[in-house]
Amino acid sequence: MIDAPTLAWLLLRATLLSSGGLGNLPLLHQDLVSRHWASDRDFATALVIGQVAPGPNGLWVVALGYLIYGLPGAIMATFAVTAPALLVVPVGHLHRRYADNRAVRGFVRGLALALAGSVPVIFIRVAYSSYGFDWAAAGIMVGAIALIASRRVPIIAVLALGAAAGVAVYR
Amino acid sequence: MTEARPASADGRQLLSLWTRIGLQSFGGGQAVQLLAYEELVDKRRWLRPEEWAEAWGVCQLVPGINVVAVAALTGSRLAGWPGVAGAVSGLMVPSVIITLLMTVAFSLIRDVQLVRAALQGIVFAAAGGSVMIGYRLIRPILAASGAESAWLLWFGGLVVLTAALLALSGAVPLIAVLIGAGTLSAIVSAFLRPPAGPPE
Repeated sequence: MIDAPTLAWLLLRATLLSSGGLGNLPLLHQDLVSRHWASDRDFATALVIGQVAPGPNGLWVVALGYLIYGLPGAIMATFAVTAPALLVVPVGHLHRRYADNRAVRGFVRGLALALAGSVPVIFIRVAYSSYGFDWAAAGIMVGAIALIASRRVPIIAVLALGAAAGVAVYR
Repeated sequence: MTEARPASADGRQLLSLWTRIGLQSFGGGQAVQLLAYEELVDKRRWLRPEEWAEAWGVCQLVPGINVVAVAALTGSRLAGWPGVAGAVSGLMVPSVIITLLMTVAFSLIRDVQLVRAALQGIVFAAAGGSVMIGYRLIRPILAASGAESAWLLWFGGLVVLTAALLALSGAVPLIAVLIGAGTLSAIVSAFLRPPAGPPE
């Protein structure tokens, strides 16, 4: 059974130790899947909704919260991704004083690099374990990377092309 | 050209502006970033380009969704706490409601074969997107590190690779990997002096 205070804490902790909309994915995946509170398919569905819905991609957590614990889960998730970002107001005031400290800058960089290295790995793992992986999946992925790298195609169009390719191949 | 800016932006104006930005930005963070820049900097001139850039830099330092932090910080600079409340709730409330409605709909139809096939396509396209997101985060950090010292550049590359491999193996708690990477990098950065030269 899901224990609500623990779920709220795990959602908040994953956000506090990450940055960016997808930064909390690796930690949440490890915490929730190991407890059997969420499946890879819940993650895959939530990530798709986060990409397709309006607003920040980080709202994928709201979808995940709903899928695993209903409306209370969605509310906890919304709080978890919003509240830490408000720290920016005091941090904005402190920033000029400490931004030049080498150790502080080093810590922020190291954390960001480790996150940036693990996010795509976990994303691909989630996609793989919910749908399997074949040549078509690899093709869609490489095609998406190429289109996004070109900066000529809006993200939403890339996702629509992905959906069309999915329907064409897997229907 | 942009030296003078109208002083008046209040919480209510920010609420309606960010509601519009949030609802128009299908496809996520980049869309929000583009729209917000157009509205706040180009059209209304509430912020100068360098103020916008500084706000983004600061927002990388705090946890959570960067776009929320940008809304909060620019809201606070323009109109204090009412500005924060207006900008953040404008960005979040309507988008969260739509996300929830979509989740309810998706969870009802996700086993329909056609929907499943479409989701499968989107998930791999989005996985490709996450690779690009990672790349665009890593590149500026490594560039900044490389400008300070070649050792920092190699160290940064090693951190990315190690974290990716550990995430793939799933053997080590990621929280330990992240905090370990941050701590190690703080130590390395503190002890590696940049070559003598004029301060930045």
